[in-house]
Amino acid sequence: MSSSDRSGEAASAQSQDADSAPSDAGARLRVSLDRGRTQRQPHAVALAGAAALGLLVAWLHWIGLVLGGALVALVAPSLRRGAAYALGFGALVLVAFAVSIGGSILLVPEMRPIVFVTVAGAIGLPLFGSLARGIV
Amino acid sequence: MTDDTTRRGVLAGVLAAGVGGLSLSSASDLLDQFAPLSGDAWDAADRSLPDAVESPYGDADLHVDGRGVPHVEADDERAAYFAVGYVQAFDRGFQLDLQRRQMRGQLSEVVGEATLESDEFHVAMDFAGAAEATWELVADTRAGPLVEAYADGVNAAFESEQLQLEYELLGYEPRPWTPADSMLMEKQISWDLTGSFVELRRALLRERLGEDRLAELFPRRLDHDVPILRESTAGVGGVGGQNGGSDGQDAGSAAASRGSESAVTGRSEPVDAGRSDPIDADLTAWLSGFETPTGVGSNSWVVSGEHTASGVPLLAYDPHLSLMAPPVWYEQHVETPERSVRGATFPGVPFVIAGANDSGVWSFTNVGADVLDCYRYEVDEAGERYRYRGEWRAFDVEERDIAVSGGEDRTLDVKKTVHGPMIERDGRRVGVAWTGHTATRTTEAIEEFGRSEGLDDLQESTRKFDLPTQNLVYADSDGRTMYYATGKLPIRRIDGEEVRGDRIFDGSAGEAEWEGFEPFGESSWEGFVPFEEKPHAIDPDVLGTANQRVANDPTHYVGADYATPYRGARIYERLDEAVAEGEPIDHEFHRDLQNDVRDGRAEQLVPELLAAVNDSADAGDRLADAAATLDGWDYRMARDSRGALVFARWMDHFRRLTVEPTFSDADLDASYYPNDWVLATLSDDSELFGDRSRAETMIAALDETLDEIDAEGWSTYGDWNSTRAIDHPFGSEAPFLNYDELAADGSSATVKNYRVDSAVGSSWRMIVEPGGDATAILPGGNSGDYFSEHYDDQFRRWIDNDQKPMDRTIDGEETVAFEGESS
Repeated sequence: MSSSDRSGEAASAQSQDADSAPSDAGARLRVSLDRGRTQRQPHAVALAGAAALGLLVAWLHWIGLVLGGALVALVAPSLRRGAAYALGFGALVLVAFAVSIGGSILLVPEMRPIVFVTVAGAIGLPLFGSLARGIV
Repeated sequence: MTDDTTRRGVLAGVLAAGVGGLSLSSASDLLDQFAPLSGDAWDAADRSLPDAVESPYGDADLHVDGRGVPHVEADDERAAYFAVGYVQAFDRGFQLDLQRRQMRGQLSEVVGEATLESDEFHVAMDFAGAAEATWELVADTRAGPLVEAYADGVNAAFESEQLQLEYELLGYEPRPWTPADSMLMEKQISWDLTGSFVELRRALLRERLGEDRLAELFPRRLDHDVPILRESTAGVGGVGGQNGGSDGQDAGSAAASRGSESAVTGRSEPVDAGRSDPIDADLTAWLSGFETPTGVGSNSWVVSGEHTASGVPLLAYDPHLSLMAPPVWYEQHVETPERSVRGATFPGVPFVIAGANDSGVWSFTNVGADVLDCYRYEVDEAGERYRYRGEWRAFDVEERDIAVSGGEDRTLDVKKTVHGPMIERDGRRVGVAWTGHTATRTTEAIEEFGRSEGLDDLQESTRKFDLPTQNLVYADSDGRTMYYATGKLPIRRIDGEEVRGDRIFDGSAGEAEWEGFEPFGESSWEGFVPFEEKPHAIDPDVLGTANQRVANDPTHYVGADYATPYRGARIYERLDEAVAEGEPIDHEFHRDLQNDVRDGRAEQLVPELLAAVNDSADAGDRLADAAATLDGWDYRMARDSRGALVFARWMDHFRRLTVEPTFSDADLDASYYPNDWVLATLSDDSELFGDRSRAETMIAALDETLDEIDAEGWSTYGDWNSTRAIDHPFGSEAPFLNYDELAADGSSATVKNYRVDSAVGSSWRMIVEPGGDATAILPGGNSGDYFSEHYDDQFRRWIDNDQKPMDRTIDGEETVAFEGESS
């Protein structure tokens, strides 16, 4: 049995404990979060949802890059994994960006120095947002 | 637990501080612009023309071909020009606004303090007022409604289409385009071609160098025999506007008995120390910063059908204007029942300026005419009134605000006299009269050119071409050819005698003022050179213009800013040779001549340099090797040539070593140096050579040249003579907007013209057989949109003068249907 499976059982036990106190919304959220972090299917759903929401907000404002990084990190099992997820989210943002501007993407690498802001924003801001994993 | 809580608290604090800091700092602006997905700049990355556009003027079809050239077809001319405005704004929308801002003195509003002096100059000159006066005149002509439709098209694109990247970078949107803005574009190009304060510079040079050295270094007439109108220039219609020409049926000779240019040259100019005093060195230097860019000029030549392979005239043209990204020219094609015209125009101008229609082809090179005068005045102590013809007059004053982005806005009192704008700076003043400071009919002329039906038609329209002074070269499909100097030429008289204009006049005395000129109003032009007395040639067999002196003995004083004759001489040399040998002249011949890079300066100077090295006892192996390189060189300024590199750099060092000591002592910088023809023909015993002989100076220059080449690591001409100078107005901040840096051919003195030091060169090349084949190329691309495939798709072809077709056929897969309200 892997350590993640063991932690899954522990989380499940915690979840049952939490169910005994339905009035505690914070605890319910905590339970959901833990499931999202530890159980494969909920984790995948949560990660996809977090990334999608992050992308949506990032399309509207750059703060969405921070938020997206925070959201994907929050569903990560650990802070370190959260940072990795945030980097992955940054890569996803760059792919979405490339797709969104079509053929013009070929010219973007030449757009120095402003392309540095773009790439640094795509990678750095989600990574910064992943610090949220250390809070919750 | 406490540690965990502390850690969480610290992380939360870092996150909050980070996000807050980013939001409140300048980083937020950068992210607003360039963040992936949300950055405003990326909105401009995916622009495309719509399939359909609603037009208030009726139906029109727009096709954009594989080189980004728009082809507009409509039954109604206003519908066509609405579409022209729309597509120009789509392709060059930022350039339109930038040019307008420059001429209105509104650059600082978006750029900041860096352009404040430019704005102060342009506001003080009130080019906008001149444009308004011009529009009042043009509005009621046939061109007026077309200009209005064009402006509406521009505004429709500004409102409906995603703006170009530069707008996003600078964070502003353009104000609506007006017909007067299009008139302002006419003023801009005219100023770029004729805005010369030569009289101020000459006065300063006279004071600093003395009369004798002024005459030696800045002769009013260069010693050469290749004017545009040569003694051999003759044709069916004759030559006019010069004395002693074959006058034929023209009235040019009628003025021969009156004051000719030779009669109004320096010898007849009254020597008056008071009037010859310079205005002020600092003011002169400041104004010089806004003059015609150094090296602006052009080539154009025509060969009649008698000497061409097709039996129809053939015309070649390449104007030498500022090279930039995007180019100053924009190519367009318009088909209506009234016109079938294709060619180049300036963005912001509705009509083709240089191009071809179904009947003929026309082109312009700069005359170098003197159409700007400077005046000094007696001004009262309060600076509110000036003396004019014995009485005190209040300046016409208007307060103007100059908005400054990120800085304090400025207020400027714009002052005018009876002659035109009064420029004031640091307590120094000079009055200016410029032929562009009145209502001009050039827009009417250009509109008529597009639907002209042959030489007679076009010649009649040329009467309205008030500004700028240009060498118009024309050929039609009936085999006729023409040269005519366009633009109004002022006549100055003192005590009844015609005088030159390259001196400062006494404005308070009303000295030499232009009769019939109404600044910022409508002029009668009655005191200007009559149309028939301007230099011209009807049906010349062979005629070449390269900004050299128009004629050896023109009927009236024309100008003072003629180019050195290197290009003109080379063009005539090759044309004469081809004609003499009976070589049928075709497109290929013209393209080859446009590509000619033989440098006349090298022919003059290299043999002398080689002799100097040969005669020198001190010349070591290094100099001998360089001499051997030059000895085996063919004087061609080709990008892969070592000899061209050595010569080009040597020329600069020779000029500096010869001129700098004297000019530095006189506190005159390089902008005041004499031209290369003067340098090349300078006498051996000129005092400029100082302690060294001319030969020693040449050798010293070669020594410095080789040091420089070694230090820089250059091996061929193209290593130095590259396109690095061709940049975007914001290329220093955003270098990606510049074109690629490529090795280039040509020099300031070659037919294939390129000046790496001032980014001036062939800004458009075309070769046209009237009614037949036509080709052209731009130095860059037709689109000003960085993300467009047409931003720079002609650049490499331009380097090689590999021209593309310029046929008047509707072409292009990308189409836009402009639909009238009834459609």
